[in-house]
Amino acid sequence: MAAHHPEHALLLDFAAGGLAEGPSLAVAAHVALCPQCTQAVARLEALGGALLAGIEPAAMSSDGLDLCLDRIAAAKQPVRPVTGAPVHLHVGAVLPFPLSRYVDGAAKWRVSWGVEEIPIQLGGPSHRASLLRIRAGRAMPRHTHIGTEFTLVLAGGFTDGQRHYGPGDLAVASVERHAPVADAEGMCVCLAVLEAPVRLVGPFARLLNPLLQWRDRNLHRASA
Amino acid sequence: MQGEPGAARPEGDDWLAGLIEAVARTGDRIAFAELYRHFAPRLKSFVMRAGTSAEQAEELAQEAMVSVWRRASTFDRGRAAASTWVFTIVRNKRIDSLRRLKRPQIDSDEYVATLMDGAPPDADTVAIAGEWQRRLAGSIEALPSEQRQVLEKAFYEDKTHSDIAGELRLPLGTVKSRIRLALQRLRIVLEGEE
Repeated sequence: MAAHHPEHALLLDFAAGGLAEGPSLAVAAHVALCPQCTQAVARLEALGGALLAGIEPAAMSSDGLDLCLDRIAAAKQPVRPVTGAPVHLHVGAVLPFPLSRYVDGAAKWRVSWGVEEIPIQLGGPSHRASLLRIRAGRAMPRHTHIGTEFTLVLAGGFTDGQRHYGPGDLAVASVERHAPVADAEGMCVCLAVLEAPVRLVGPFARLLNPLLQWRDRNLHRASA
Repeated sequence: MQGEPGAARPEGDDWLAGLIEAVARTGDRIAFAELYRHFAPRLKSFVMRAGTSAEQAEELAQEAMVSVWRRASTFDRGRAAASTWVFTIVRNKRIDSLRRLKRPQIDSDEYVATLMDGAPPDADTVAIAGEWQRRLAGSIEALPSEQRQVLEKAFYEDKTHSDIAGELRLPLGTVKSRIRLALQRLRIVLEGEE
């Protein structure tokens, strides 16, 4: 059972559809692991439904229905329900739906700035998302970011300042420098979503910034 | 209003649910026409609340109605009321059109639904979600106006709570506490939950 949940305002942003893809993915994956938030989102969607039901209608054009039926005749086949089997990574971490749809189960970890990473491709350049794997007791590189950072723990755990985060917990950090430390036992696997660009701080890490920016550009070119 | 228990009155939620099921089962065009007459003008109005032009709003409403047809088989009246399900469709359309989440290789209807709709909730959640909607309409009206305003901006205008704080020139904490109070009053979240 998760101990750290998205705050109410963030759940509202998610259910109303206002979040960008990266943060939406982090919240959706937490919700998939958390019955309490699943229920809150279902109720928020019911609120959206009640607002839609109660709205004053605006007249459609007189030939609207015919045009709609024409489009339906030309449309692709009906959409089947999307099913989401969790993906088991080869490290004991299970990726909940919909994160499982973003990551190839055979994806390889690669080492970058001291942690192992599997980059996740998003549709736009506003955020960076990755799966990170941090060895027991290791600190993540100290970094700053301009906006909010979302970290969802998938296996193991980490401590950031006074707070401990375990499996299913969502950590939301706003603008600040910080350096989370993985638990002393077992690997920590998490989904990290950061507003781009990310900047590392510290004497050595700073040297890596041009490299990160170069990689960002290439990732976005690949996804364009 | 709508949704008296057990009644499949025209315009009631059970009636609308039956129409969606008829579209799913047999591609019933008469049922679809009824759904169109009920929902398309509401969808258009819903989208126009964000300042979208009548022309663009009509286009988005049309697209949403095509998705109602295509996705009819994913509707489950035990999981959500008909208007809640249609709300999620127009929400997903708006995400799709505004954020251009489109990926060429994936059908966009399916792609956004994958991100937003998640795994089916368990049976308890489900039973509650349908019941919820029936009680909500009156409770929304009874909210203090500054709380209702924040919810309406989120749902109609597609703004995040920080966008809303910026627009209303309010501290972020004030907007967050209005949201928390509103969601507690509507019993969407329980006190002490975070």
